[in-house]
Amino acid sequence: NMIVVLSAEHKQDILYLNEADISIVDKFCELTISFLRKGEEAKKTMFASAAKKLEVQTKVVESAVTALAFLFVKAAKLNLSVQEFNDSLVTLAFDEQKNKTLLKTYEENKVALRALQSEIDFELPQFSDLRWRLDVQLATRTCRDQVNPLFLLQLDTKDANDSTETTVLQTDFINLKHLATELQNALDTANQVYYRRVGRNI
Amino acid sequence: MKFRIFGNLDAPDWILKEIEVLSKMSAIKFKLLCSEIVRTLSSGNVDYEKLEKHCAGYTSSDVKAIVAAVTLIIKNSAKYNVKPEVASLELQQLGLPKLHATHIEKTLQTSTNELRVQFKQQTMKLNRIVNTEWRIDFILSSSQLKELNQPQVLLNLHTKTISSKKEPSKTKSFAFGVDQDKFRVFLHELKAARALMKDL
Repeated sequence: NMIVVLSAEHKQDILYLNEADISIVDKFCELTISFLRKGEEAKKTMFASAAKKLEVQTKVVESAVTALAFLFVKAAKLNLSVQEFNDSLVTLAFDEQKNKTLLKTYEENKVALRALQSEIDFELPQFSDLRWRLDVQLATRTCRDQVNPLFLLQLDTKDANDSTETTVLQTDFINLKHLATELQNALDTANQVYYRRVGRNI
Repeated sequence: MKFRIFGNLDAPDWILKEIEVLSKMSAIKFKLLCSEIVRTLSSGNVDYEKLEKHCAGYTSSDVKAIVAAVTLIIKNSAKYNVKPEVASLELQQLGLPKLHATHIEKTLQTSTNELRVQFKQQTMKLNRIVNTEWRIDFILSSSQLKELNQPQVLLNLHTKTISSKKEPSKTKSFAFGVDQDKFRVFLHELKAARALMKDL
């Protein structure tokens, strides 16, 4: 049973909303969501125009919006249910209507916020491509008259920045066979009963 | 069951299911789809709109499956150099109607060679030398020795690095100097390697 704990500073920032009208709270919710979507760059223009309309300092608008943003982002991160979200709002001592507005904004944007948040994750390099070639080594500088089959592999991996790293590998038949068997074993374990059960229960 | 179009191996399960779907397509659409896929394989550019048009009436995942199946059939037949008649027979054994199989046969007859040339070019290549520049200098003296009087060969090898799907190949140059005796050995070994290549 989790709730978002708002620190004293957060409550201070939201204080402005406590005294404001319900329609203003509504507008602030919209402003917060566009702030979350557009990011830091649009901050100045958005807050300045809102502050002008409401006849308050930009700083007041900024702190209120960032506090609301914290509330929504933390709630989306913890995947709070309706009850848990309402519990988090108790410490703000807002009236019923304002709580409802905040809840409505949260519910409407929860899925989108979680989608955005899941993209901000570190990634290991991913498999991109594997090309292979079978060569036969006939001679080297030091030893002639050989027949030595060799596999050349070109492994491309793509990392989180979308840049591709190419690795060229050389292997003989025995090692390649071992590699193939090990990879096939890995695939087969995923098909075993135990792992299927885990997959179903997640 | 061993099939030539799968390199003398068993047919993958998903192909069997897709052949059922392919059999239900109209013969004319199937023929157009085959030619479009040959175009894709030889040029490397995928014209998604045309492919969707030929597979009209199927969901997007179905379209992907159909295109994958036909691409695999045509690509493998060219890759394993299967005779068009043999490919047609094997496809009919797998359940493809005779009319569709005949279209595949005709497509293969016209395009197998062209596809094989294209595939040969696409084969994996290591870094290769594209250009060599040389220059012979005569070293008069150096800070260690007043009179050196040695010739030196300067080589500049331009190599093309291997290309991957996302990054095209780049050109890298290696410049280095070789003195007389070393260069003699170097040249002799390269000539020996060249002679071995000629004998093949």
